[in-house]
Amino acid sequence: MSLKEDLANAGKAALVGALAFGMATAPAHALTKSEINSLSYLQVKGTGLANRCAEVVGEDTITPKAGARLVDMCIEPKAWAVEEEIGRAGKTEKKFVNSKVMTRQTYTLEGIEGSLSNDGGKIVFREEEGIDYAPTTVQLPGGERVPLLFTVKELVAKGDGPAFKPGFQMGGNFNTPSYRTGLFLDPKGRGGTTGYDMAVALPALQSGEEGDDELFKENNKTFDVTTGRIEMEVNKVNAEESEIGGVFVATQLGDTDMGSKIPKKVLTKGIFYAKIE
Amino acid sequence: MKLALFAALFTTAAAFVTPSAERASVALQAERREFLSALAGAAALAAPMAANAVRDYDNVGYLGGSEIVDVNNANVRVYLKMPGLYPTVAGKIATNGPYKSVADLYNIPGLSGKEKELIKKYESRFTALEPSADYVIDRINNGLYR
Repeated sequence: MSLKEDLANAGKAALVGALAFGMATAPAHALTKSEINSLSYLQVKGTGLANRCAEVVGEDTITPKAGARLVDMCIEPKAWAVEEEIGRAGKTEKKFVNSKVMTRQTYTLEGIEGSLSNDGGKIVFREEEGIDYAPTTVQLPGGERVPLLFTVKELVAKGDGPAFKPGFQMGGNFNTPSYRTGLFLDPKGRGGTTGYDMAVALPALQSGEEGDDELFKENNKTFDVTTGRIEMEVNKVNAEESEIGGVFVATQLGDTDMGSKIPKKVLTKGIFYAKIE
Repeated sequence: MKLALFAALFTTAAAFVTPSAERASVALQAERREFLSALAGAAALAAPMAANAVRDYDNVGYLGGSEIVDVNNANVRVYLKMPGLYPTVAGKIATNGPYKSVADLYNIPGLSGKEKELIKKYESRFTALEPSADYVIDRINNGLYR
């Protein structure tokens, strides 16, 4: 419930803000998908273009037919904010603090595809496959780094109408798997599905011995799957090329370090692109 | 109750909304409110499928080391030991969702008759145990290349 509340609060301002943001930064190097497809590998290599979503030109309407799929979906975050407790005049409040992305050029989701269906006159998009996760790290103003697995895995997005047109909104929940998977070993060789289950370097703190309980959070690796939420709004539709483009706002939790720390909530805003097939 | 909750949220959120956005977002707010309250029931945000750490995973024997293979958790390379399954049928088994029982394997969409025969051949070696998130995510590529 809290994720949705945050999204409700941040989403309204953010969607409009992101809209303005997107239009203000229509940079010279925003290319359409057909322009990108005409470039060769060497022309794209090293330019950072692969990390950008294509832009869409047009304000048509597309009504997906039965059995249509959304393919080539690209989700590019442009701004990240981490929820922090700010102490002001003795009173602490939770606020989303803008943070700077540390990951270079590999934080965009690409090639996502999924099925579209019409559920009671509203479009429902179910994400199936693609590069739907991107480990990203953002840095807070104090210098602290927050890793997160930016993802839309298993997204079920429900729209508010039967056709894609400028102003169409859809949103839904997705699953955020653990930032580290089971085979990851921490510096003491402890891991989820492999590795030790105690601090082997500390002989006096073997499993079950006194003092081992203090390290329980680090010894006991959990694979935490949490839920995130994304809201997308379409602003451009190109019926000829069957493409849609727009902005999104998403919240999800960051890294829990396999259960040893409390994850921070991260708010992401950016643009997306998709092709209907 | 939901409306009151949202109303309370919106008033507290006023501090975070920039002036320019406020003017433009009134219409958006109304749409959003309706949109979100309609979805309020749907999202079960507090019920993730987490795999809590089990110091000794009971089903580790069924991940490919023994005769019986757990189709919900085993990596796709385990099917290399069963001639004929890898890569097509094994790929279909590993990409499709949790199976309630071994008979559920035949319900994978897009299985041809020949593939169903192959699954039938090895049916006695399969079992469908509880899917564990940390093994399910590694069913295609678990980073172990031999």
